[in-house]
Amino acid sequence: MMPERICVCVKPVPADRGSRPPSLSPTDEHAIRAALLLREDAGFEVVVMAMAPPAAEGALRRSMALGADRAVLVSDDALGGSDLLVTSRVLARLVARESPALVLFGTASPDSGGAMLWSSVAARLGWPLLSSADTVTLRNGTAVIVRADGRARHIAQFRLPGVVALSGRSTSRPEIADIVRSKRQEVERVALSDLRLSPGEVGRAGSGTSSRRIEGGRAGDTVILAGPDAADRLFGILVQRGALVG
Amino acid sequence: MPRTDSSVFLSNGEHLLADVPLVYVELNGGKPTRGSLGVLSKVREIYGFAAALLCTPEWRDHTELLCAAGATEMYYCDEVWPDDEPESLQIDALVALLTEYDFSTVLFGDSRLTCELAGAVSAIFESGVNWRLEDIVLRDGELRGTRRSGVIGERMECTWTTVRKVAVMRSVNLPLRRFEGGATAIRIKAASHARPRPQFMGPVSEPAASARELASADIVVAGGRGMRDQSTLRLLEELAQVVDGAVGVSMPIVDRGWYPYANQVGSASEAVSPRLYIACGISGSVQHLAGMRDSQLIVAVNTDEVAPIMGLCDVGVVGDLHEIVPRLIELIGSSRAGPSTDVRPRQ
Repeated sequence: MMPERICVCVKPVPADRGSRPPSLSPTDEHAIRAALLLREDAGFEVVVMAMAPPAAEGALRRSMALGADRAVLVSDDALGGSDLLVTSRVLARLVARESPALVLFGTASPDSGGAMLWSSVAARLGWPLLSSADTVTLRNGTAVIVRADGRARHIAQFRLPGVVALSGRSTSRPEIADIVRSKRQEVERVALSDLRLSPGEVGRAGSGTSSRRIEGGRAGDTVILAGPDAADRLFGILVQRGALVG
Repeated sequence: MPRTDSSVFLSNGEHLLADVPLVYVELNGGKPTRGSLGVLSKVREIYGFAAALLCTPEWRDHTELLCAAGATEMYYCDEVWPDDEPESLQIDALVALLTEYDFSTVLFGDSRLTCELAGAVSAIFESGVNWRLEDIVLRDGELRGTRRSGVIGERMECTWTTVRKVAVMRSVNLPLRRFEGGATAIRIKAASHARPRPQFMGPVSEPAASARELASADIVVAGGRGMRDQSTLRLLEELAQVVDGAVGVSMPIVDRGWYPYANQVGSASEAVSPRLYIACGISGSVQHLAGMRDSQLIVAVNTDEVAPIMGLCDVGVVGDLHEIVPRLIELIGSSRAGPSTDVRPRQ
């Protein structure tokens, strides 16, 4: 049985200086490109999906300019304050709705919780997961990945459906014609009720954690060195603070 | 709660009511990671007891080490499934343990694998997960964690609202303590294929000798747009070499094709938290700062004294990196050459 759909889960991130609307990260673009390559091989439908504020629509439109067939956005005021538990709950429902053969994630920074997210989504779906994949290919209902594991590289595989997190990043400039075409395409909006989720299951109410700001940090204690002996004084500070001792 | 074996070493009987936190012990090259042991010590310190989970047929080799680090109960899974991708066995073992026993707190050190395990546990047991925790405390019997917020100079206190709590700690800098006494070892059986396991197909090439891994480096020397040209990178490599650190670069440097992506620091790539971060010619974009602000000591070398990174760093050096870095290499090189070497101030 040949699969017919690949979902790519993306997380639109604020652009560099924060003023522009969220955009696709290079790691997400890499995952989209990988999905498009798989489509060339076997003709899947590529669906890009995100849980994000409405401002992320532009990022999803860009994914269609890059070649994705469809883009789906879950956006709801009730989602504000959602933690990882909620995000994985929503994304797993969103993915399940499309019954894809394969779900792709781009590798975000270790800090952003990306590894927790794709693992949570795979666990909720009950699907196998392979991460740190350099490449992914599909063959006879099996996903085969080459993974850089520390310093070694090895091959691993699973029977579809499953989840793959790709390492690597890429950016590409869509053709003007594709940008124009994408303007006519609709980003599909999915409501919480479409996912059979109540407001109590999402946002702060549905989250498993909470946090509040407290004091402390390093603001205001910066030492500034200048002048011809700056390097020598820097060396002195590094020695004094034991920073160079292994 | 069938934890009767524990009475061997907990004689007052309170353990039957006590909530023993579980620490997952990650192995690297067959040995427990320093981070896992640090978390174990932390848990033992604040709770007075700690359970450890270890998945390897060679678990016996590590009992002494784990007890010394703080383990008072040791759960092990000695199964080997040669055809299965090794990491999926770890998840199955954790799920089996958490299904059978009543651990309400599960803690991890930080790595890609532990984040994936924490994510799976969080989803399967509908448990809240806090990560990047730098410290944990018990206040009024309730576990609380602290981490840095996105805003410089601010911290967040993190709590859980679910019965079961999952925590991933920034474990690199956690102190390792030494405890006396033993632990009871309890064998567990991994839930057989709780979900389909990927198959492991073997290596495709010999391990390649590679540069020191950025994420695990104690010291990172990073370069950005302020570098005159590509040859400046050799200067940074030289500094990294004398301090036994790794080279990092900001995104523009990778985009120019000057250095591999594997060495990029930033929120879109590798985030690092070394003991010492030396930023050379990096003004400090939001993305870059997000990828290194958790470093213990941050030094910035920049000609622009109002560059954003100057507001975040501990020591800011206003000057040209092409002059500062060679002098620093000279000073450190001389001091490393031997204690008798005289390092003369310049001029």
